Amino acid sequence: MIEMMYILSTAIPVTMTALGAGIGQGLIGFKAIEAMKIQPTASTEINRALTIGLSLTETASIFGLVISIILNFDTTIPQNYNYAAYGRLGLTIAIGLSGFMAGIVSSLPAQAACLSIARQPFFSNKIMQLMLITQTVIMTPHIFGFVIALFINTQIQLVNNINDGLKLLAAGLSIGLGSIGPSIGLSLFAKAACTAISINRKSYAKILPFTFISEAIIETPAIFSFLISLLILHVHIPSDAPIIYGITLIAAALCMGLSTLITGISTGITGSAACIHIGNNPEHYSKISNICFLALAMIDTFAIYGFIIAIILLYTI
Amino acid sequence: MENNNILTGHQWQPLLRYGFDHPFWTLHTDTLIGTALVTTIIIIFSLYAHHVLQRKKSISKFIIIQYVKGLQNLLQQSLHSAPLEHLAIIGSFFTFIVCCNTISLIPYIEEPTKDLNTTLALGFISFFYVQGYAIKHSGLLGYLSEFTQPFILMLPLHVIGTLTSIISLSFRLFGNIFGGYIIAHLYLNLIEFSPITQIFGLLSGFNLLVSLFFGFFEGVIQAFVFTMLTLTYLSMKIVPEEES
Repeated sequence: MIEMMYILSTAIPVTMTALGAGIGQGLIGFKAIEAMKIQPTASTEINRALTIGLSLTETASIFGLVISIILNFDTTIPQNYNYAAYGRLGLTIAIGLSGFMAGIVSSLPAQAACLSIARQPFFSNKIMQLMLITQTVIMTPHIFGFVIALFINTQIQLVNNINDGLKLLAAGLSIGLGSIGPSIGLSLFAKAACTAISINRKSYAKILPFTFISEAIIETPAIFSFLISLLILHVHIPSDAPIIYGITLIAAALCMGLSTLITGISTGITGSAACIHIGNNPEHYSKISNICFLALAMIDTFAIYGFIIAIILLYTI
Repeated sequence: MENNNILTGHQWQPLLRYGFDHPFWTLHTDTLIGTALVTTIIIIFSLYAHHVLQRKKSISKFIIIQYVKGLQNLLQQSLHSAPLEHLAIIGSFFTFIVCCNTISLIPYIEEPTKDLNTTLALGFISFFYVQGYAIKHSGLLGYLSEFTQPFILMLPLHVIGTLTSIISLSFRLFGNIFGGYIIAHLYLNLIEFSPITQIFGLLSGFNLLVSLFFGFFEGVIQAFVFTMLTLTYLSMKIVPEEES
């Protein structure tokens, strides 16, 4: 059964990422047509936003395609199929989960931007600029997953005992689970930012710096998961060590990945609420942003606790 | 006794021959050199600014005045009473962390903030400044009575919540800068295999993009986040007096 996973894993990355990107692109098209129904005269601007949004969402599936092609042309035979399959499982989790989420959620800012352009057609350039920036930032957890998948692929041929296999599985789990929460949070925030500009176009000067800082804070858990993945890949386990070493690494990965899950979503909800309020009354920017940064920092602390415990677990080996 | 590793950097144990092999006696040479360089740059820049401000008309004078004015605006927006009192420490934090994060644009020098020791020190400075100001502001008794605000059972929660700010500030800075450093390092390892990729990276501007994003952009944003959070913790200590 576990050997079957080794062969199946060539197909899973492209399937998962294509699934996510397909759902996302469908939603963008739906919202674009709705926006054209509201404001038919702005159809050229909406068309441009639609094209850019679709092509950026497509990036998610392109990474999966690259990984699948690399795995397909990989003819080297691993030392042990049984344990290398664990590594392949970690690889598919790293690229598949992050790509699936990135495909779905990177459509949210594009949807909001289409509706915003329908509301403010003469402001379409600024709205599209913000959409581009936020969609690029949403892709970063997926890029981390892609990098980790490439690293796992280079180490798979060297696997010859169960601990090495579990090590690669843990590296994939950490970034795969860790990318879900931050990408949802980033997308919720981006959607709110694109909507807030259309409420009041004078708020753009306030929203843009606010977006940079808040997205930097929301994205922090994803960077922590990436760091833990890299640290796990660098751990050296002696070949005759008991299986408890591998299980410790799995525990560290789960600790990091699951602690970022709700943290990312809640920071996104907080930031999006602040964004809508700034759009409604930009003159209260300093008060709202103060409270918002404090709340974001407090919520982010739980991901930092998970990070500390994961590091302590790694250094017990 | 130097050993180099991507995760720990250069380390030097000068007292190893006398039997001091505990990690406490290890010197992180990258961090020390980086910090010394940053401090030197800031001192030279301050002396230059002092010199420039005596001129009548100059572009440098305009830039320096705008920089200080921007910091003043930031303080006035965030703090409600006596904002300019804190200009010195907030400005120092921002300047020092920005210089630390972007120092890696100079070849062979690495960011001091990618070492946890530096960021922990910065977090402790911020924590003690905020708490010291709170004690000075509301008196020792008033400061202590805030910990038992609704009722006495809340004491441990307040203590933990206050101590959290050190971890929150220092680990956020460390994690972000260290992550950016590792990504940039991996990219450099990736392109150094063949001259074709090196030339492609050089001509397409991708090298510049990576180093600008992780060296400059990320560094400035994280410095700003650190400063904003310190300001927010400060403003929490000042607000209650304004209401009464």
